[in-house]
Amino acid sequence: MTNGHDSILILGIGGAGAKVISHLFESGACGFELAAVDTDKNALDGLIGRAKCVLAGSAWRDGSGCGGDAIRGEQAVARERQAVTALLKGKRLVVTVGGLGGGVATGGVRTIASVAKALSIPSVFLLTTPFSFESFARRKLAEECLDELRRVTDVVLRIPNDLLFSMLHPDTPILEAYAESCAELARTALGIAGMLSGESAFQTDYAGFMAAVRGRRCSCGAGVGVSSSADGPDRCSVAVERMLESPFLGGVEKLSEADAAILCLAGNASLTLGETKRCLENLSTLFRENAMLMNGTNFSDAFADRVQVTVIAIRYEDGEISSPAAVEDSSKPLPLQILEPMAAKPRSTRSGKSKVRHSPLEQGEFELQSYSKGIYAGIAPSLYAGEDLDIPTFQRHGIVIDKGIVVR
Amino acid sequence: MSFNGREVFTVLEFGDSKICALHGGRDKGGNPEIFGFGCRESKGAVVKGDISDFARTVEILSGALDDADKSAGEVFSREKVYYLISGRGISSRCGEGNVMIYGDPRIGDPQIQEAVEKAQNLPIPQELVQLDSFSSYFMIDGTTRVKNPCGHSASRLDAFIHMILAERNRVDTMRSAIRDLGFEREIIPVFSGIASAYGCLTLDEKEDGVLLVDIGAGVTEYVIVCNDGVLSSGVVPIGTDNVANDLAVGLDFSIELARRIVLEGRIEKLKRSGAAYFETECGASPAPKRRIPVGSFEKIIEERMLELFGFLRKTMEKQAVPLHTFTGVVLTGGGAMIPAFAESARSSLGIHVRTGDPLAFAGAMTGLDNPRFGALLGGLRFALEVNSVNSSQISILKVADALEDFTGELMRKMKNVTKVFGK
Repeated sequence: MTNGHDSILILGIGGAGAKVISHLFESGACGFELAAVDTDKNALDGLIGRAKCVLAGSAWRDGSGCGGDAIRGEQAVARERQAVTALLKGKRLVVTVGGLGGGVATGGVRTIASVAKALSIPSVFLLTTPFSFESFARRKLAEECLDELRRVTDVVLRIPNDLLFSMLHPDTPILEAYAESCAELARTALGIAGMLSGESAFQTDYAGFMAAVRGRRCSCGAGVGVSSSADGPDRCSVAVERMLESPFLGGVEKLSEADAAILCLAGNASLTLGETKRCLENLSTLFRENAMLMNGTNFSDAFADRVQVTVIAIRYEDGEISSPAAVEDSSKPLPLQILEPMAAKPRSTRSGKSKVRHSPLEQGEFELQSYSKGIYAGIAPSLYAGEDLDIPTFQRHGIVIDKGIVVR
Repeated sequence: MSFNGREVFTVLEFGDSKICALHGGRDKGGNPEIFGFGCRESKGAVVKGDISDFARTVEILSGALDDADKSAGEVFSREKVYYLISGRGISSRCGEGNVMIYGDPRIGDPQIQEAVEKAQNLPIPQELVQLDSFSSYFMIDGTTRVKNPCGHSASRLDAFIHMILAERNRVDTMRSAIRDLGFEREIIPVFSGIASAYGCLTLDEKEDGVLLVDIGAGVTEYVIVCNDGVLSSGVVPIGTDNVANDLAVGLDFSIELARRIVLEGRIEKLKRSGAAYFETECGASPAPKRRIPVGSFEKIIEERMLELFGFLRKTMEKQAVPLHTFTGVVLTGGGAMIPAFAESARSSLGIHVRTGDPLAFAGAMTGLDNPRFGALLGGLRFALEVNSVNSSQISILKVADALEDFTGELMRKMKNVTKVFGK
């Protein structure tokens, strides 16, 4: 591997993230710098000495994990900001991998994004969302975390765990399904890091990623296929076939439904024009005509005689996240609404409590006022675009703030 | 009134954090020169750009004017004054006027004049007054957008005018406060955002296109300028005090501490040093020492800034400004001195951002050479340019001002003199 690879960090956050990093070690052929952040000492035990590890919140959680509580996870990672900064400093790209819906990844990714932004390091967040059979609260938490993250960082790739259903047999044991999810996430992280590590011929660089996903709520399918000269003369076609079998791609039909896609063929300088043309043309035919496709070829000596085909298929869900109002629009209004002339309602909270739906005949209830206007309490509301801007933005968006701890 | 033989203009600013008075004129080279300056804290007399305590405002303004006189070393007679106006009462409209061209298809001055006059004939509700109007752009045959249509061949010419309006009662309240201080002859309101544009934008920026954002303590004014015309302008009721208030509410601080944290850029300093916590002993109530993660501050500030720049981005999208030729964003006002704000602007709008310091002013500039005073100094340049470009226009304004109460609508129309921005 080249030195350039050393400055790319694959960072696993939370339990799932740590497992991905562990899997990358066990699979051997990585070449990128690896690190993990978690609150659970046991999860990091196997990695100590092999990867840089940050045991978050060890001073007060004693390495016992945060029990799937996103607030505790957030507090724990926020308190390790210095360690995270040391971890990220000097890197030219950070690929953060984790599973949302739990504590550390859901709470901590924002700190990682903030540190990366402060250090001006391009960052890609590859995050899975819980299976549909997991609790509603977990899935809601994951979606809220993604919405929050998209506002502050450029490239967030959301991969639903449910995509695994399309490739795994229903008889697959659940533990095996999670293991497969972990292995596939590791392959995808490697694929993305590999894709962005080489010299980009056109489009499939970080700017291409940004153009495709910045500020948009989207769901991604990711497939990586690798082959080498040993697989026969048409190594690119073999790589494409392997890519199509990737569980996180969700099947070939997902490609035809995609609104945008990043297609990348990576290899060393021996990659020929004919191979590139044939491969990218074949891939393009899998998508519908008006899909926004970004084709590219990346070169790196690290690939030797191997070629790697990486496809990120993107499906936009409901337009841009340009303003917080767009997030709220997606939730259906209550059937019985009471007009509040003075103040805008706060958005959903992180507690995961669902709103009670009233029947049309039922008397509605005023929501408990859980916001304060501070110095603007005594003046006429500053209504703008339908919101009272005097209410703190974080309160209107239902964001929980860590007020810190008392020092004795 | 004169100072060493030069005409003196007084400019007043009513801000949430400060009320300022400035005396200035032209130096020998024709550039704006500051003769005297006075500034006092508003202390709640002005909230969100509007006067909330009239008597206190007059008292503070009087003090600021006295300070300005002292600083100039001369007590100026109180005759001609320009005052900056902002707040929720500001709105804007686009006037459209068209002319069909028969016979010789070449567009000349008469056709342009007619189109502009038609565009200015936009009826204005009685409760609003027009502060300024600027030519935005011209359209030829309904398809081609041009800056100057003179000499083009066409069968139809459309003129688009950007008008800035203010609520009559707010304008009159400020005028009354100024009259109480002895100014009688000319009391001319100027939209604060336009004054900032006059103070901080370069000629290239006005030509190529720029978004000017003046982040004050109470409100933020914006102006989109392209091809020397104003495409859009307005006020968003978010300022640095909103950020401080959010921190005070969210982290249980006193507003004074929150303001210091915001204005001194303490969180930026902590981030640069790699610290994970902010330590405080000052709670809103007597509280023990707390260690608050830097991320909590970041979250609160970022949410507010993303909201502000989200509004501005939508405004730019509505105007379909040609971003490929756009120079970028110029941030001015006190908020421009806070690094986190510039960073948010950069990441939200995705274009180049620079800090707008006042450009090319001479004289007693000590303490004024920073974005906090961009609008005040710009107000002086506006006064000088309006007075020098066309003195006959000002004569009309003077007469119109004096007679407005008597002749109403007719005089208002006489004041509808379209200015060409920055010329």
